[in-house]
Amino acid sequence: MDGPPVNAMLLADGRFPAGGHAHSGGMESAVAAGRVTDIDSLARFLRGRLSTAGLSAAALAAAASVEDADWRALDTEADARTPSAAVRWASRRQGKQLIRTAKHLWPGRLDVLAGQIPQGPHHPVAMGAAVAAAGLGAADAARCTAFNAVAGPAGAAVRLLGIDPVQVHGLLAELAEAIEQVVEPAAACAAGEIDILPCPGSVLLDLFGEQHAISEVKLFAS
Amino acid sequence: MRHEPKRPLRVGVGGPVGSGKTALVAALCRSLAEQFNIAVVTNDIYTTEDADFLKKQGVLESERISAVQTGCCPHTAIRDDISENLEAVEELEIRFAPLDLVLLESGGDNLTATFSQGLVDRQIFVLDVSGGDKVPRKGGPSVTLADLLVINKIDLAPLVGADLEVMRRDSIAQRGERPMAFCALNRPGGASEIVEWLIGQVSTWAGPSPAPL
Amino acid sequence: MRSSSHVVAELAGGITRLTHLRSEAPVLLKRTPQGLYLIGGAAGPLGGDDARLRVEVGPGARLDVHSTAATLALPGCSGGASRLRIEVAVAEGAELRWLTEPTILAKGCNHRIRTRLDTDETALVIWREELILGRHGERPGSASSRMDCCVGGKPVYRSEQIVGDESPGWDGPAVFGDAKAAGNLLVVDPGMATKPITPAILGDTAAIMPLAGPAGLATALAGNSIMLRDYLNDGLRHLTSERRTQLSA
Repeated sequence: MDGPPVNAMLLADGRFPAGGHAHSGGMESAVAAGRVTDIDSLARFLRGRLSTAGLSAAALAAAASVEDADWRALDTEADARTPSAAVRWASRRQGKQLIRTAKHLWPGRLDVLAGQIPQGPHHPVAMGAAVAAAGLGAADAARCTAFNAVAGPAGAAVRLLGIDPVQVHGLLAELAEAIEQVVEPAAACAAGEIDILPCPGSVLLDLFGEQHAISEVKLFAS
Repeated sequence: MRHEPKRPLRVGVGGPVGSGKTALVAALCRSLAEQFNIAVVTNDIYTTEDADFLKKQGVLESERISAVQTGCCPHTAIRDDISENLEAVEELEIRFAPLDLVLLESGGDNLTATFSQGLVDRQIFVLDVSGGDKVPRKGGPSVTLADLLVINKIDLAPLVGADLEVMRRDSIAQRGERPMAFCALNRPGGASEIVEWLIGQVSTWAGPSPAPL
Repeated sequence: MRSSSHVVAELAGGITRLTHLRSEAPVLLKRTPQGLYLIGGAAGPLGGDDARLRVEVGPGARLDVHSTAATLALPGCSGGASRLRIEVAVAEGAELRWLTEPTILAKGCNHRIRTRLDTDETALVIWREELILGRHGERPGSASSRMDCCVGGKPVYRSEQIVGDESPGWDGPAVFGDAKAAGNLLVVDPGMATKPITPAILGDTAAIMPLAGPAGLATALAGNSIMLRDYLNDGLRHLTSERRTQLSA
């Protein structure tokens, strides 16, 4: 784990060119359904997303970052934790794009992952592998993933609802402690048995994924 | 970027909303589909309308037209983070290999939106006279960087009080001798000058220069 | 209260027999012509209860499991959690229909359900789970229900529903929203390996989702248990309409 810490900032930055800007993480459907309308409902959405999909993804990413991680098995675990086919598609799409960029930055084992899962690994698996390739560890993988789980939809809310970006970033700052509360258990189980990794579900996010897939008018890819 | 030596020419078509990007892509496909193996990627802002329009025009088989969503940021998708577009282009390149030409239409956006060199090899920027004859003078990266500047709807120039000579002069001032085409894409043969230019580009395309090792 | 219940269903002479049946409160099992019934024994589950149930469905056997009434999870004097661990193995060519009544999560409860469902690649399983989030006008306590389903050893569905403030945002617009009832209907059907189901929207808060494996899930949120059951019945029809594997009568 001797990579420069700034590598984690690169990977968590919304400007990292890995397709993230095109995905709303369920936000576009939540807005369309009238469930997220303002800063308060956004805060509740982000907290819920962090403690469900965020924790599940952070744990997978942490496990994918350890040496000799079984990426194929983790990818199957990600599939099993993602009942919505639309959400699985979005995850693999973003995973593939993350690897495309990251392997250019940190060549080496990421080519192995791209070869193992040519349709694109699930995003948390890709993130874990990229963090490892960048010379960082399980906590970094979990933190980048957990942060992504809220920063992506928060950015989408700014664009969809015109909420003041200063307020939205205030929310993200308020979530810092909650993010660490996800990072800690996620990193703690990284080297353990993968079948007992946490799998908190989020019914509405699954439904949003499915509704988005059949929506005719949309700005985001998911 | 490391590219395989023999991939098709990728050409971006950008420009403000309503300037005629989709009409140009349709006209290019109509004129070149017999001669070249073509695919198209559209970046709609809100729907798949542009892709649907092209599919309805029947200029290409609908499987050769792919629409990507841009998350409210059409300029990001063609410039800052080209992942979704690269994905779409590569899927088409594999599926319809060997392609000669891929056209990428940007979502209608502002005058500063240019295509990344990581995504396209050439770019066409489409303006129309109704946007005002001052646009070329203001310049901006799209006007200055485009390989071909198209000024569309010249038939409307007298109606909107646009001076084509002013536009020509200002464009030359911004772009030097790089080509531009004045046209009315809604007229039969309105795209012929652009078609000629593009045939020249495809015919002389030798693939991207290899990346330094 | 610690308890352990165990049932084995085996095919013998063309009919399924319960060749082993042992049950202890609060998970009491009763054999009926309609299948196996879970009947509430004692008042439970209460905080401090630790109940285990193991179900084995042998090759070619068919077992239907129902319950006589909803289960009410209540807080106990000890303040500890009530636990229910269900382990199910479904062998080759066997069929299991688990269509029990909902679990009502009362105010102050601390209830933990863990279900492990291991099925053979040739087995057929229908599994319904419904959670009612508090009695009328009541906020539920804490609860979680984790399902781990593996088909032929490969994980196909792992999901834990977590209710209560231990999972921040659980009643917000990403998880349960303002729903009072949440449920899933899981169908594992070997026929889905070759003939996958198509996704479908059943309503504003219900959908059919093909899983990444020979299985499909109907998932729903509703304002009450009746509306939830309507959604899941609708889901059951969808998931079994084009009978991919011939169901036994």
